[in-house]
Amino acid sequence: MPETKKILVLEDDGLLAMDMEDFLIDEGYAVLGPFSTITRALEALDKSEVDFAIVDLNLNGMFSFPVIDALQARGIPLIVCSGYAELPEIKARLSGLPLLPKPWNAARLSSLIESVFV
Amino acid sequence: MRLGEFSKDADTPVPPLPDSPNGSPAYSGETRIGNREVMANSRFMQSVLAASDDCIKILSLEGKLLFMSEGGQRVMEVEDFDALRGCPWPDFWAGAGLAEAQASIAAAVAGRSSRFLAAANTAKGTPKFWDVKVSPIFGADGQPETILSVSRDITELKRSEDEQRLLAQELRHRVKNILMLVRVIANQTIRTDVPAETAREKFSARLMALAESQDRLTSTNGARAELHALLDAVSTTHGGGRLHFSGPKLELNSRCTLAMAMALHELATNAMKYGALSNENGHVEVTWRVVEVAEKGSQFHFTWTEDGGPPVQQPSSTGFGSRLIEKALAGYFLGAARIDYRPGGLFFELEAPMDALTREDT
Repeated sequence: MPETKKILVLEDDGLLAMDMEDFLIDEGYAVLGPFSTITRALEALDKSEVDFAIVDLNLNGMFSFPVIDALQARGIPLIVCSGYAELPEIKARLSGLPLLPKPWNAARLSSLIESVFV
Repeated sequence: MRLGEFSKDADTPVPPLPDSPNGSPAYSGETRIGNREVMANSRFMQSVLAASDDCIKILSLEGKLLFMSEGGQRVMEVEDFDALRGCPWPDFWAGAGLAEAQASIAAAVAGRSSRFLAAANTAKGTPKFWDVKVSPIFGADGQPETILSVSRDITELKRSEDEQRLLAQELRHRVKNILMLVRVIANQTIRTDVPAETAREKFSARLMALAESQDRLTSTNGARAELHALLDAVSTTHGGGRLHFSGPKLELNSRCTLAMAMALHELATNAMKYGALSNENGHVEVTWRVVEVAEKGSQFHFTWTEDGGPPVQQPSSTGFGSRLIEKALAGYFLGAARIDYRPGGLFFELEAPMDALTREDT
């Protein structure tokens, strides 16, 4: 049996987080989180090994760049989930990271996971 | 009145208006009409100008103020026009308006009319929004001689347009939030291990709770709800007179309203099925208060206490209801939520900063 991949999820909206967590578990992944703050996500990243990450860009008005930078520094692949991804100045800072527009849909996330993580 | 006098006396055609489109000399008719008519004509023009709420100005080709109508002085809150005579008209504008005013003068000097919308303060500093038309007035030689500038005060119109835009934006936002919530409810309710009929009933009940919460939204923009009203709804549909609540008058923002309404629905449904509302004697007491906590500021403290129901057992698995309450509700309120399956009755509490309940989401 193949090893279950662990995905870190950073999403501040409790219902969306719940929805994504269930989706990922149904898809056969293990979920670390979901975390709702940058601090919690960074702490978890220090303590645990993760294979991939899905990060919401806008957390209650705060951009999650510290987590994005930390993931990139560790070479952990990630998907950025955001309703703000269309803004050109923000998009420039994401420098080619795969984007999942909000509200996300399952088929899109599935295919993104396939192309980015597998 | 004066208009009537004028029409009766005037048997010669009205001279062309200053900005007549063919550019014919403005007052060429004057020599052919008598003194009486000239007087009447001038009185007529003056009364028209005085009656208009537009700010009608004549500017020199350099853009300096030569004349401002009486009505114009009223809307511009000018007390003494003599103090303004000769001042450059563009100086009344700032930012985008300044550039527009300068460009419109340049256009008039070149013989063209133009129009722009911009903000400018009155002489007394009252902010206003104007619809401005600037046209050249041609002299006898067919060249622009002076400039006519007519500014209409459209502040009220602009304000109501802005309000409409905000409301539409807020509505889009709310519809999006609700649809997202419906999707989550569908995903959580319709599952492979749940029979279709059960899922259908649960889904329908959850949607009804959501609809009910929308009916309780009050306030002018319809995005907030009284906590009392939400509890009143639950107590009416589920309580059977055995759900009591008390707490101070408190308004929740749209997100907290949705989350609270769903959480109350899950708690009440659970109480009717397994808890204090499932037998004849149990009851539920709901209370909330606002307390000042050192270093945290105003904190909202909410409790749901069941009593008199059958003995409570810790559920073997965590369902949508408890996850919704402990994770999502707490997240939306930026606080902490806890369900305690006490043997004597389920107990739930939520603590959150007051700030999070009222702040509109970004």
